Amino acid sequence: MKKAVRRGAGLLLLLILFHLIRARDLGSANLTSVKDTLETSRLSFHAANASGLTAGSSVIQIQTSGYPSTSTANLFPGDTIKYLTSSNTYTVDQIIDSDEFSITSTLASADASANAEFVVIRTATHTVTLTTASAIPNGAIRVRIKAASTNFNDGNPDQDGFDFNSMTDSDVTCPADTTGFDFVTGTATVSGGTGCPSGYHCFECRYSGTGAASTSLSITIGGTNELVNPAPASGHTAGTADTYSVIVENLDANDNVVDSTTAKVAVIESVRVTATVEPRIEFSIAGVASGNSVCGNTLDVTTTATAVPFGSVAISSFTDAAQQLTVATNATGGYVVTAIEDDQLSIGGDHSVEIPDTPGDNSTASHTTSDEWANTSTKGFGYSLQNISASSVAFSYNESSRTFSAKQFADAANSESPQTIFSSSTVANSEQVYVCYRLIVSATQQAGEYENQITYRATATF
Amino acid sequence: MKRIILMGLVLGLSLRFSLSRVEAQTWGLSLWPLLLEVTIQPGKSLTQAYWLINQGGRDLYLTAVVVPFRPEGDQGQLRPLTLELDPEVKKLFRLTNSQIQLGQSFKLAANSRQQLVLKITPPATQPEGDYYYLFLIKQAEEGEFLPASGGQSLIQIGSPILITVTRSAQPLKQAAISQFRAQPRWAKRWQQPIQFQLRVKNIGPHFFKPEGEITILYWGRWPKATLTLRPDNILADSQRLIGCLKEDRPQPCQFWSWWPGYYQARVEFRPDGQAESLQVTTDFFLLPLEPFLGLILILGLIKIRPRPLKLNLTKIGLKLNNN
Repeated sequence: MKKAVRRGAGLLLLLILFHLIRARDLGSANLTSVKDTLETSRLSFHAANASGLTAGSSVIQIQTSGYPSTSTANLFPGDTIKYLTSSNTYTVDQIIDSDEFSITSTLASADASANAEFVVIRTATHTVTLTTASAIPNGAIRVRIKAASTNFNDGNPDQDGFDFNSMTDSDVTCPADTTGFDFVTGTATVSGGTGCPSGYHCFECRYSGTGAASTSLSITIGGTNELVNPAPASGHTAGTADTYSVIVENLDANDNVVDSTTAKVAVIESVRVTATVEPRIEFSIAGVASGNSVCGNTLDVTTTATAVPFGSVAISSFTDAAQQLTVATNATGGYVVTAIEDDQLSIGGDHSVEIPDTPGDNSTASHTTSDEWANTSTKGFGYSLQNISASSVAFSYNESSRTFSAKQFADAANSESPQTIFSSSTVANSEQVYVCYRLIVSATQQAGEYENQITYRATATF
Repeated sequence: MKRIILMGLVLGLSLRFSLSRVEAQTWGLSLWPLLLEVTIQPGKSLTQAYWLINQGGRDLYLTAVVVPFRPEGDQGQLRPLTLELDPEVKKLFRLTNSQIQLGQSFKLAANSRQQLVLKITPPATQPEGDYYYLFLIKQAEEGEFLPASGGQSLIQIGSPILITVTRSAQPLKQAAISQFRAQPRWAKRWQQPIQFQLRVKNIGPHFFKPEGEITILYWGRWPKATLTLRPDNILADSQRLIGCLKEDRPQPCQFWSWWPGYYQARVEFRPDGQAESLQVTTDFFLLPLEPFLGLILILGLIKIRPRPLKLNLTKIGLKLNNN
């Protein structure tokens, strides 16, 4: 008897095992090539005010713990922040540091309190592609996307899933009809809605026809409204993606799941690339060697950056020298370079015995007006300009078909104002000018060493 | 022997060329930031760090001063009212560096940089208004004596500081358009651009930037182009020639189109984008003569071309029948 019982139990076990094996054969197959591509995989932003903010301020400091976003790492200039309580919105101007940013306007008193929460809503279209596994007649393709457990349809980012954001059926674009599939308009159902189990939002494209295996299909979720990307999950590490499940199913005519595959979708902070270009102005002077041809003349004197040493000056011929001035600025407003002398050339620089500034051949030269100076009988000290690469020079040595158009330096001792010699009203990439000095003295000029100081001033325009 | 002569020739030539290229040492200064705009309440403080770089190969003795300036011209130029540090200015500005003070010379070694930390503190009694200063770095005289007659070159470099002292969060900005015109009004040549001259005057107590655009309308109705105004500062009691921006790059305000006809240009802007908008319209014509002359020439050629001889056989036949 015991033997018969044992045989019976063994037989029963075999039957159970056989049943289990058969049941596995009857189960659903995996859909292949399942993929959910997000229009943007940027995490939404959800932070709160630090304490100490005041109404009227344009700088916001955030709490560095206790809220989904604890740094400004995923915040960008131009983002719109929305306070959850007041629904007031502001535009991000600049990111100051890891916990501070500025806005383009000023903070209302309703939004200045400590722990006032605000979000940056980032929505995305989901494009879900799949390849069917079997021919299921008159069925449906259903996509289920992870939803939060609470507040999953308020249009604000959630911490543990995508917000439904009041999507409608018209926001679902079903695949184009193909052999075995004649699709009707899709449906969008919020988590926990009719026919949509809680925990996931459902998007369904029902079809008539025989269905077919190995058919590639694509569903677009998002139109006028789009799902809201999640804020960082609890325990989120910056730079590490948060992953969420997307379940793609092929249903039969009675909404039973036949084939199914679960895919993962990842959302992560964007990388903010920053580079600071310092606005600056650079101004330099360089000497020019004798023998070079500048301002239409072969130079007689080698200058340095600091000095124009005319040396022993001839009476019957001009002594020419030059310096090269260079300005570079990345300011959009440009720059101005002015020049002024402390006084006329005088013995020892004491302003007693002087070499006068040139009057020009027509006696019209001044610190504001140029004149031709080619006649060696016209004595004095003056200068001209040769443009190398400047946007604008005050005058040029060869203007009006002259051989050496000259001006006097503005004379500080005579209360004259510095004169602009070259300038630009925009960004300047190494703009250069030669300043050409010319000196000739009369036979009656008292012997001695004559000096003065010429000051070049470069200022950025405002 | 020939080889030695050749080598000597090559050496001589190379020496000749290298001599002609020799230039003396370059020296210069670099300063940033190059513009500071501040809106501040009386009694409050603001600190700005400046960087000064000696780019040359020799040490420099420099003096930092803050001097008031007034705007000059209409392209953002300025004129310092003095080059010496005024006691009144010392009440507003000071350097917080431990070693360097305003008005005192300091040494900046060759190829080195120095941070100058400027603290701006308008006293609580400071009247509301705009204050314009230049943070100026002057090369100090070093008592260098030249070996013979000649001039010494000194350099200065400056960065403007525009301060609005106000107790209001939104100080009053008032503008007037002193000029808006198209030049030329009639573009007679092909591809001749129309230049727009816009001069904006500040009639309020505080500086501002114009924020707006020029819209070009074809026949006064259809928009053809939009030119963004360059937001340059216009200081109180001054006016400025306003340029344009294209993709954030400065450019002249100009326009050209393939379509001949009548155009209107409308400029509209707000001072700092906040106050009431100002708007002015001007008009111009794009009527290039070259295409019309070309058309007349082609029509003329068609007209004077000799016609081919045609015999009217029908008429001849009729005549014969009549006879």
